[in-house]
Amino acid sequence: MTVAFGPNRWAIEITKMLNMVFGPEHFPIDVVAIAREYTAQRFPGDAITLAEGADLPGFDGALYRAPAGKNGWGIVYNNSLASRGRINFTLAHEFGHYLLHRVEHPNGIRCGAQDVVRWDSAYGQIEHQANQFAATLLMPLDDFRRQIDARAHVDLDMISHCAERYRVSLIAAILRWLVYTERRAVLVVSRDGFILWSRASEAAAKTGAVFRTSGAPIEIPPQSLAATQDLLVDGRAGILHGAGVWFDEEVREMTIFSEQYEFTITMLLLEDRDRYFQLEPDPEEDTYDRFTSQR
Amino acid sequence: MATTLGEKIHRLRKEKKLSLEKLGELTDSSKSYIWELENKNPPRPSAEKIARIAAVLGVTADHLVDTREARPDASVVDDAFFRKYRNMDAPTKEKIRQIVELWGDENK
Repeated sequence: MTVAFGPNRWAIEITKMLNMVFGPEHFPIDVVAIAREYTAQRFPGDAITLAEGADLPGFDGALYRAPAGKNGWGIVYNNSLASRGRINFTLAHEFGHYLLHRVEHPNGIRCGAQDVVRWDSAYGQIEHQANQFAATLLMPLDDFRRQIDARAHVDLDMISHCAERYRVSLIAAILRWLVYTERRAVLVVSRDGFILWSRASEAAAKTGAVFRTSGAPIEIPPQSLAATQDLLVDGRAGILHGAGVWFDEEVREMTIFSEQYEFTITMLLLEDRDRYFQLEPDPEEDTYDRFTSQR
Repeated sequence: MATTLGEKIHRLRKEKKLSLEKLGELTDSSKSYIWELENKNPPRPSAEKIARIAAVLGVTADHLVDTREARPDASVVDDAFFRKYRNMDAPTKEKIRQIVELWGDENK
């Protein structure tokens, strides 16, 4: 019988077990070994019995049910990616699908002829849960906090060190740090001068330091390191921009270019601030209110 | 489909060493529209726009527009959760099929 645990609960269960067996210093996690051992003990007859990597261009990984005559489930993944961190995250992600989704979807997800859109949105949800599981398993917050205090001023080297420790990509480590830092920080991933996506820490989001990428493309400021791609400037150490470049305040920008994936990773660090006064709700009736109240 | 419209435009534009501005200029589009085409998933442009972009990039419009279905093939989709299923090409699917078929007995 399987209890319907969520992604975090599963990850924490396994972390507790790892802490018991190996102690708190058990990083990076050997996902394949743990997935096999853990599932063999906990779900005998329905365990993960295969984990095989191959050169599979355009593919990250998938979870398969064993064919007739064999038992259990298998993870097939692309092991030709240059980034070990990405491979490790994929393995944990597929392990997450196994724990979270195999019971609900005993026959996998089938894509009917008219089902593309709905299938895609369900797909989005289960992908998100599997990512949440992978991040929590590979980078437990208690350990991350011991590496980088929630109040610490960071630089990319500090976060790179954690990416190494947990064997994840730099972006995965930054996203994890953003979950708990009390500092105002914004991650911006851009390509060809426009923002692909962005994520802000809670303190940054509360003060309006965010980029909303769901609408029209947002161009990155021409004065930024991300836009200049000036290899003579040490983008890792960062530079301090005055107000008016990224935001209406000083910002420390650190940028690295990922040639391999053709995108630019930028960390924006802002000073602590309670709120943006200009974003406080306007008590006066504004033009829009007046317009709508007249209708 | 193996490669999306956006990925194809992006790759061909880089090969031709054209900036976003330049490709925009040559096809009467804004720089940000070209970027959106390459990186987001806006509604498919008009046939005329595709034809102009294709001409500048030195390919046919058919080459840019995908005609194949955006779904994994049925023999592979069963019992599987996919990541990036859209990007799977036939040889990759075939390799995966083989791995699953050869599910080792030593893995029992």
